[in-house]
Amino acid sequence: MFPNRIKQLDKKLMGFISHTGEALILLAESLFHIFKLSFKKYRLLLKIRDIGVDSIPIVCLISLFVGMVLALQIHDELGKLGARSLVAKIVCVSMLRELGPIFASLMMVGRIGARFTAEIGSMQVTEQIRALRALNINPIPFLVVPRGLALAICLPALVLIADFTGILGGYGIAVFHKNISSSAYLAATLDAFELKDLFTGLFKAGFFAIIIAVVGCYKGLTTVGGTEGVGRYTTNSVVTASTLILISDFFLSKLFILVL
Amino acid sequence: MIKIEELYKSYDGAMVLSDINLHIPTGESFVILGESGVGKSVLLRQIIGLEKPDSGRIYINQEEITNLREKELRRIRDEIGLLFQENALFDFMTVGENIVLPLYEHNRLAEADFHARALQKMAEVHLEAGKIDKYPNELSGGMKKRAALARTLSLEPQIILYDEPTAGLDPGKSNSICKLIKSLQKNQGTTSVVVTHDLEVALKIADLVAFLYKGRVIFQGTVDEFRQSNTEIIHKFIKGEN
Repeated sequence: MFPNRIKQLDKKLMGFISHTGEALILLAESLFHIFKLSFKKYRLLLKIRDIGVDSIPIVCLISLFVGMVLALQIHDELGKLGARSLVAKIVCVSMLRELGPIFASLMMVGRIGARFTAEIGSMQVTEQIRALRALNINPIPFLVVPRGLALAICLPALVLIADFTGILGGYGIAVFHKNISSSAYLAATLDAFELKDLFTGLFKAGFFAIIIAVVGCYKGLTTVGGTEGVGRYTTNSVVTASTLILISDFFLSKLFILVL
Repeated sequence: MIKIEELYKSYDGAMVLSDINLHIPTGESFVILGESGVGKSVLLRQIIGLEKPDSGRIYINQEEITNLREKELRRIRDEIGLLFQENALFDFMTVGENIVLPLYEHNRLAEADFHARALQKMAEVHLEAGKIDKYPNELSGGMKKRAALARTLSLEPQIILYDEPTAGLDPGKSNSICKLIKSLQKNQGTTSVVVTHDLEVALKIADLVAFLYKGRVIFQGTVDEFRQSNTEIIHKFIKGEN
């Protein structure tokens, strides 16, 4: 029984190492095609519209409510300590450093990462990927590069929007619900605003975009098991990308605290 | 000309193709016949270089392709077209877009000529021009097959591989696809390699036949020689007793 468990563990470990290696090769190959510009530009523009422009309303809505909930939760607690003036500062810093990038990225995992896996996975199980290769069309510049590059361009922009609407949400609650003076809140927000916080958030967004794109496309390209397999791999893609984002967020935060 | 020597292929330790030796002359219609699951489609994937054999050699027009890298294989694939059993049409593109996609991706045609080229290829496979803007899910089985064949022809390959080209079609449509394959071979001088489990289809199309049984080629010759074969397995297959 014990040797069997070791064997299973060994198999899982080897599987993890080989999947990670393959995903990194996919990333390297995609970067190669990006720098070589061996992809159709119009396909990139279509994906920017699908991924970025169409995601703006939902990202705005989510981040607006995140900012509102944050202001609501911290206002009363800080009030007990006589530190209501810190609400604006905490909302601003939290949105820029953490909540903007994290919530926008997790939203994109569900909306876009899952879509990457489902689209490419469906093509994989219906031999369309094989047909691409038979027609001498490399699936990486055709399918992976436009999706990945569009996400890497759009996610930082969406995080910027999420930061702004989140802060706006906090402002709305503080000023209209908790009766904090508008000018005092704005002054405190501007005082708390630092470019380095904004850029660390945007850097994280770029990093998370790579995670979402690589996991989404890799899971799609390796899908097996017909339509049921597409469902299974899509779920797996969302769970893997979300987990990697949250884990890497900790290490990136730690890195920025040390460096900046 | 396609030549295969001592080819072996297995998946997860299970041998699928064993000691395959075939010679497919240029311009002929060569049918690989056999029951379902004997490795016919696997053999086609080796010929076009979509998969690597475990061992053995494949020659396309005298050039050995077995050890070529993906980049070098692309040059060979320019000369070979593959019609998939389930057509593998890109379901997010119209019929016209499917047909010109390879030309667009390889920058081989001005965009202004796409429409005319798509119509030309549709005419070659007798597909109505009105279907050019339809999506694959809006077509019947026979039309999908013709659209997929038009896409295969877009790069004007010298060798066309057909994977069960009549699977799932009614006898009338199956017959018209057989005629189409034969006429493409005669009119365009292409080499046709057809894998099928359907004896009737094989006899309509074939100049030469190979019979695959449990991953091995147990017969190779003309249609008449196949009919007169004394091999018990072939005899049973012809009589439909397998």
